[in-house]
Amino acid sequence: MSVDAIFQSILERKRSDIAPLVQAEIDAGTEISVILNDGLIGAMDVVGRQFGDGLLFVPELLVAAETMKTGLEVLRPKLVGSEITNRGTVVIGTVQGDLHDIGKNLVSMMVEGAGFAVVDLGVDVAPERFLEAAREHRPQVVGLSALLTTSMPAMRRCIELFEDAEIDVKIIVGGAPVNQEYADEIGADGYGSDAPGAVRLIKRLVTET
Amino acid sequence: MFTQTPPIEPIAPAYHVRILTDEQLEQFRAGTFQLLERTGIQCPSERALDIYAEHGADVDFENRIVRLPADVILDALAQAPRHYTMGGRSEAFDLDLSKPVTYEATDGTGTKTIDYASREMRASIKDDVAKSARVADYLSSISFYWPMVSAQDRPIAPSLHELDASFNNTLKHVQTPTVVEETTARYAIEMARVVAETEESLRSRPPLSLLICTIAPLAQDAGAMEAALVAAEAGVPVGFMSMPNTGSTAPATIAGTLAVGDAEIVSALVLINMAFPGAPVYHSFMPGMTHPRTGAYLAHDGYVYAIGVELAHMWGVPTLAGTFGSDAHTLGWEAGMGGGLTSFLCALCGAETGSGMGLLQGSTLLHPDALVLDAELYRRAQSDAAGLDTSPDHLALDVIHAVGPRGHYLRERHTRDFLRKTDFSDVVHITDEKGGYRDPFLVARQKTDWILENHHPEPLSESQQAELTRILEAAENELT
Ligand code: B1M
Repeated sequence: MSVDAIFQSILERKRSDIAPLVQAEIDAGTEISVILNDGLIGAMDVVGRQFGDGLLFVPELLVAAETMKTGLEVLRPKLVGSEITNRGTVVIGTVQGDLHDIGKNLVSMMVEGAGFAVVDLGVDVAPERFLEAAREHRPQVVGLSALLTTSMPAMRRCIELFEDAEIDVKIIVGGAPVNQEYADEIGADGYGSDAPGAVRLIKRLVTET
Repeated sequence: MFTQTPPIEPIAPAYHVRILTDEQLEQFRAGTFQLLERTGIQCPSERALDIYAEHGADVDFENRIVRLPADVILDALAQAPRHYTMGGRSEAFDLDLSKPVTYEATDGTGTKTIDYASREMRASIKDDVAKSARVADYLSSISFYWPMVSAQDRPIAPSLHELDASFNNTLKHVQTPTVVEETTARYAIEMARVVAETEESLRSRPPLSLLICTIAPLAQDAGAMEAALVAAEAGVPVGFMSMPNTGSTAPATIAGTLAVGDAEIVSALVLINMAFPGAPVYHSFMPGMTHPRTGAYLAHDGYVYAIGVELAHMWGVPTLAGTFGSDAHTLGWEAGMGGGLTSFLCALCGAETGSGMGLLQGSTLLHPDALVLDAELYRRAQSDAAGLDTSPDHLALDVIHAVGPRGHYLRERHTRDFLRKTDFSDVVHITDEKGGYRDPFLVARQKTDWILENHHPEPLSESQQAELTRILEAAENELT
């Protein structure tokens, strides 16, 4: 029953309600996978659809995602070492020399909302820093954002560095001046034209791995 | 053989408006004082932090936060000139900011171009800068030039290649939004010195100015601030543009967006005048609005930019207003929505300068014909702002008397004289052979093609051209 309440608290964006609800459900012995999939991720799927249909505004989506994240934090100790995982981990950042982060933040937020763990490295992120984070967090996907034509080469450098380091991870790129052609040219595994597109792409790549 | 560049025709408003009351302006002044003293601004440049600290700011070096007491702000701003001249290649193209007019510029720096010949969309290149500079050079509505797109075919020092293409293709003042690091700024100043010809002229009528963005909310970019300091030291005007995004990098209210943006700009203006008292600076408020459903970057309504003009003047510095600039994806009704009206309002508020003509898709796409079409909107704003001539000749009471009731004016000499003097558009209301009007988009395209074929502005001297090339090569060697 209160998996429903967890579900609802995300739809209604009640950030401060969710932790006790998740805790109560854990205490009641409900399966962790049910809390995660039917409660947290299930609700975010609905939120994602509502957003896609234009019913929700961006800040509402953000708070729904944060509500889900708060619930996930309570669940996390139970997930460690279990077979149940979230959908995967994504490391994301705006590349070196570039401080634009409005689009990257949107992507981050929507990816997180879709049930992935997101490690957001911020802006002006050097290729070495992406590599370090990939080694530390073992993501399925690394996402590079660039808004400046002058910072796009940093995407290429990053991909080359990952190739040299032989890290097994999918690298995706996005940002206003980037396109599929450029993504192909630099050997990226995918290009997202907007935040929902990035989510679809990540879901596909994660399923493929 | 070169062709003459037509004279520039700034908007000369005959009347003015005020949007904010004195009390409201005072609220913003107090707001900026409060934000800069209490919250502070993040400044990642060591050089800038030292300057702030030496001039009385409270600097938290560890967290790179600068807090500015009101008296420190006012002392620094008291040094900033209210007016100065931004030079063209010749004096006829100087922008004298003390005149009661608004000079407008192209938009920049986009990343895509619809090719002038093939009309296919592609990544922008240096030649697009050269071509759009020539079109801008021809149009009287454009008083100064921003490199309209990025020279992406020149991966080393693209911003300097953009300047090279600009200086070589227009006699008008050039303002760059892409010189944002110390090293490139040094080369850019060298290039400007070549165009200005003398050190004296570089300072009194600098042919180049810089535009540096602050980072909303309440932060600065280290490299860009250091570039600004290089420019200020050379006497080259530098402006600070804040682009807070209502609902994401600024509160979801216009007043809150203004408060964030103004504080950022003031923090930067203060730094420059602490370091180089009397350095020419300008204030530029160009916020965006978050699309509530996608987060995309949208333009605000015109009055928001016009308020930016009033804030600049409150601080005693000139402004660069956001007068055009369209989110529209293609030419058409939507592309024409904001430009003329915003330009008009900003001019009535006394903007010295404004920019934004000729790009689509949120300042990212160069459409070959957009400049000519925006020039039409500008013409309308210019004429709406011009007021009315009521001299006896214009009031024409004698002619009205002579024609009398139920007569008509067609055969009057007065009619012939004045119709000839009327400034008709050469883009709209152009008749076709069927007695209708030609499609203005087609006329604009033809006009653009005609300009590109026939207008070749006076080139720089051979030695100046060679010097610019030498500087570019030196920059490329250093930056490779
Ligand atoms: C990993 O997978 C993915 C997948 C999809 C991904 C993705 C990653 N990342 C993004 N996406 C995609 O999903 C998002 C959501 O749908 C989308 O993200 P976007 O980021 O495209 O969209 C956002 C939701 C909204 N869009 C934006 O936020 C960008 C808007 C514009 C106007 C813009 C802004 C706002 C800013 N700027 Co800047 N700025 C411009 C931009 C012009 C434009 N219209 O794009 C651009 C990019 N800027 C430019 C410039 C020149 C500059 N800017 C600068 C600064 C700034 C501000 C700080 C003022 C501000 C950024 C604030 C911030 N916190 O991000 C400076 C550089 C600073 C630096 N080192 O980075 C400065 C150099 C200006 C100066 N003189 O200081 C131009 C670039 C020119 C070029 N050659 O590339 C520019 C095109 C504007 C222009 N016409 O001049 C998709 O692209």
